[in-house]
Amino acid sequence: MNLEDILLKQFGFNTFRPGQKEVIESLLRGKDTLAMLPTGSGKSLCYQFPAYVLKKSVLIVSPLLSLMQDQAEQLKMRGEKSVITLNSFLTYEKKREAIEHLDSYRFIYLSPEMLAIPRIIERLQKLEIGLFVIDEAHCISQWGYDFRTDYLNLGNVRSILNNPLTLALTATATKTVQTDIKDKLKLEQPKEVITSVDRSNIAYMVEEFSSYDEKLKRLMQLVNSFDGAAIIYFSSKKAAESVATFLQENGVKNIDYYHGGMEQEQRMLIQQQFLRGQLRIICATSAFGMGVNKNNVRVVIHFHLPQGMEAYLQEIGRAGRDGLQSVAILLYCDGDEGLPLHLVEQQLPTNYQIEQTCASLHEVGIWNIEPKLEIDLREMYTLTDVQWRWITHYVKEFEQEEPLLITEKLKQIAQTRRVENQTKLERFFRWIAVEDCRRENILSYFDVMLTEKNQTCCDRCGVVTEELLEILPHDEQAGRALKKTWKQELAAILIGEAKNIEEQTS
Amino acid sequence: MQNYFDMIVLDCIRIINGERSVYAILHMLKGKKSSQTIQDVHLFGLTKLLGTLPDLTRRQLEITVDHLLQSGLISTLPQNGYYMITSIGQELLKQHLDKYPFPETLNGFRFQNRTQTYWSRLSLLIQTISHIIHKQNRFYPIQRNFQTQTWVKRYLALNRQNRAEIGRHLFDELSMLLEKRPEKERDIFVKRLTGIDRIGSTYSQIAKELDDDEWHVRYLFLGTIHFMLQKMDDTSGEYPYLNSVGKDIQGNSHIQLTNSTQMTLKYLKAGKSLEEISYIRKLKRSTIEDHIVELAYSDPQFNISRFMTPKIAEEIRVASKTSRTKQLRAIKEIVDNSEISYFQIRLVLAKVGDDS
Ligand SMILES: Nc1ncnc2c1ncn2[C@@H]1O[C@H](COP(=O)(O)OP(=O)(O)OP(=O)(O)O)[C@@H](O)[C@H]1O
Ligand SMILES: [Mg+2]
Ligand SMILES: [Zn+2]
Repeated sequence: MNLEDILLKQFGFNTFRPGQKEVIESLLRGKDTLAMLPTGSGKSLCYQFPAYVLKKSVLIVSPLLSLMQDQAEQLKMRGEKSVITLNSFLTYEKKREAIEHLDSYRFIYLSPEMLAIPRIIERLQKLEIGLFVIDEAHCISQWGYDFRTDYLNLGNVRSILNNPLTLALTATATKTVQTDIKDKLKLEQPKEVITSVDRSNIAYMVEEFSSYDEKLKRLMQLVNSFDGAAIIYFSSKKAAESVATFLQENGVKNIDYYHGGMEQEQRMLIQQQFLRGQLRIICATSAFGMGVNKNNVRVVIHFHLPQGMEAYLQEIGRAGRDGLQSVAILLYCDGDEGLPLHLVEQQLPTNYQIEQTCASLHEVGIWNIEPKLEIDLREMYTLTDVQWRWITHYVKEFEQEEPLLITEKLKQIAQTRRVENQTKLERFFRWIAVEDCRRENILSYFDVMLTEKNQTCCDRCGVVTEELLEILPHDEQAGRALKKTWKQELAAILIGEAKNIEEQTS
Repeated sequence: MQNYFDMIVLDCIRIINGERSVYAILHMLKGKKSSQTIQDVHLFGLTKLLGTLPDLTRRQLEITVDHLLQSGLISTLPQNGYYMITSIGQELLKQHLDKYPFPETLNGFRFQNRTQTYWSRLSLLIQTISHIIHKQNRFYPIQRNFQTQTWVKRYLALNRQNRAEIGRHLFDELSMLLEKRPEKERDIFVKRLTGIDRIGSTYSQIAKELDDDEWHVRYLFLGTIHFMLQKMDDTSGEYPYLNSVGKDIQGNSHIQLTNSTQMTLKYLKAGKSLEEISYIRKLKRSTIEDHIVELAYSDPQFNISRFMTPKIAEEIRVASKTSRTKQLRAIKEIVDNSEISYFQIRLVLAKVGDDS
């Protein structure tokens, strides 16, 4: 069978998308591969496909639990049953059970912290690993967007697992970050498949306003001028909630909000309502997105500025995954820079937080932290999850040094990072103001050349939002209305022959 | 008051009457597994609310308390900084409670450990059946929890009968139960369900549709689930299908004990005295006392007579009736008998507990 046959048989697709075949061929030749393909271009297929040829387990490391679960569910939807996600939320019992039968799974999703557990590593050492995949590989680089300290361990893990065939995937890595990924993962002369980061079917639009009210008014106008699905990004939970409510109150139908502060079950409901078309528009924080694979999101609007170029590309990358014309609209108001600046400032722990936490950690010893103490310390010094892991990571790394020196080093690293984050943001602010083609400007940031240019490129190339919204593909919004009475609804769900019941109960 | 949650907090503050800090309320609503919290809910008659808001944060509570304070509905006690309800607060609370009473079926103490698991299983089972009978075998499960998913798979593997039949039975049993609930509760419950072609609604969506308060919707829903669980306990034979969803969920009184208390219980059963247990376990005497009080609350059969004579028990009982507060100190002053310890008072209170 040639590759195209397998593609059709296993995935039901007729052709590979750009880059996919090259990556797969490289892996099948046994070569470690670093692939940078744009968002929504089908990176998952690059590791799913080889599984059916190699006939050994594929291990996938993914930064977020929700992302992992989304991808596992998507595989299962395709009919693939042999999937497991290992994460710290499994009960001990279930974890043990799963670990015992690990070799019976074709796809094993793991969060990076699972790879720090000796028991799991031991088990993995005995497993025949066909392919080791690092998804969202830019998370390994502290120069990259969304740096995660627990990704740093992956290079070691790779060695311990005896250097299995490795695939690093990302959509957004600058040259520096690409080099860093190879370094940290200890990839020696991997095959590199770097296609453009560009999403040619997404038009890039920026609109400027002189006041918040104007911006809000424009948002309302926008959501009423197309009928497809949309995501509106905000940088705070509160804003996402209040703008969603505002739009609801002003008659916008099928719109709701989503953010990390909501309970798991409620979040899942919103996400699935959106996937099904029961909701048309989601007002969200960046917590929404990563794993969400809805093909026909037509519009992504930013009501607030993102945290940089990479973040922006990831977020607008939710649009047009079916390849059809879509649009990203950034609404900018003078002074909007303040909020993201403040947010990146807050991502890293302050000097005070570093000093206090380090002192406490030193007292008990970095390796003796009980969950209870973690909760207490985090509450005492109001440390976010990321800040906590950041501090403990570096304290462990510098363990051999004098306590005071450690504290100083951490403060220094934090300071350097803060400056870098600011520089990144400023680079993005410049993009807002650029006078030439926005697409070319984005590409230059990633050191890639523009190969093909779509007619509907960006506002600087003459695209007008209104005209574009009008020609966007239309979509039926699905979702069944509730039945008249509770009993009819219950019958529609559980029996299906709702007719009979309607007669019985009306 | 802005919402139903404010009302709940206000009601708790009224009942606690300046005898605990607001964090005791946090622990109660979150369902903290500690002897202190279990004693508190009994002492103050707040068993229904125990563990009804497991995701509540400290911050949420503090914001609400601030807000109640600023609106003059509560005031601060000078001696300890605890809160008391004001007379305006009383007035407003009464109006609200009349309008939005707690569902009478609410029983956090009894069901908190089963509610979430039961609902997760039931909702995923319903979604699954709904899809299968409509000939759709693939869908995104509404419950992500691995344990829940495995349970549903196993359930369907063990119950091999026709899926349409399972659906029919679930429909019959659910209808029968829901008929016994008020209109609003039925509506909420059904809207929460995910089935073929329709994903269930969130609390906030339902609240908007019914023009109600999100927190209130949440409590009405809990009331329905607690009612169902109660029925399963009392008359499981009448609802075989619904009962089979939850019968193996652990969470009745003994399992609910904190681990340390269970250990103490083991020693007590082995005939060890309080002092001996304290010595063997290298724990302070007061800690063991806490465990014993927790046991007295959790188990109606727990016999306190080995810790005091009947005469002392009676004396305390009388004193606790005369005293208007539940403060131990006040009761101790009334009994005026230096041989009676606080521990003994707490034990007796645990036994008279709820009927006051
Ligand atoms: N060869 C193909 N032909 C048609 N559709 C494809 C092909 N490969 C992948 N797809 C579809 O493209 C969509 C996006 O795929 P995927 O989730 O793998 O993107 P991704 O590159 O990982 O994006 P992100 O960077 O956002 O994670 C999926 O719906 C997938 O089914
Ligand atoms: Mg991906
Ligand atoms: Zn352009």
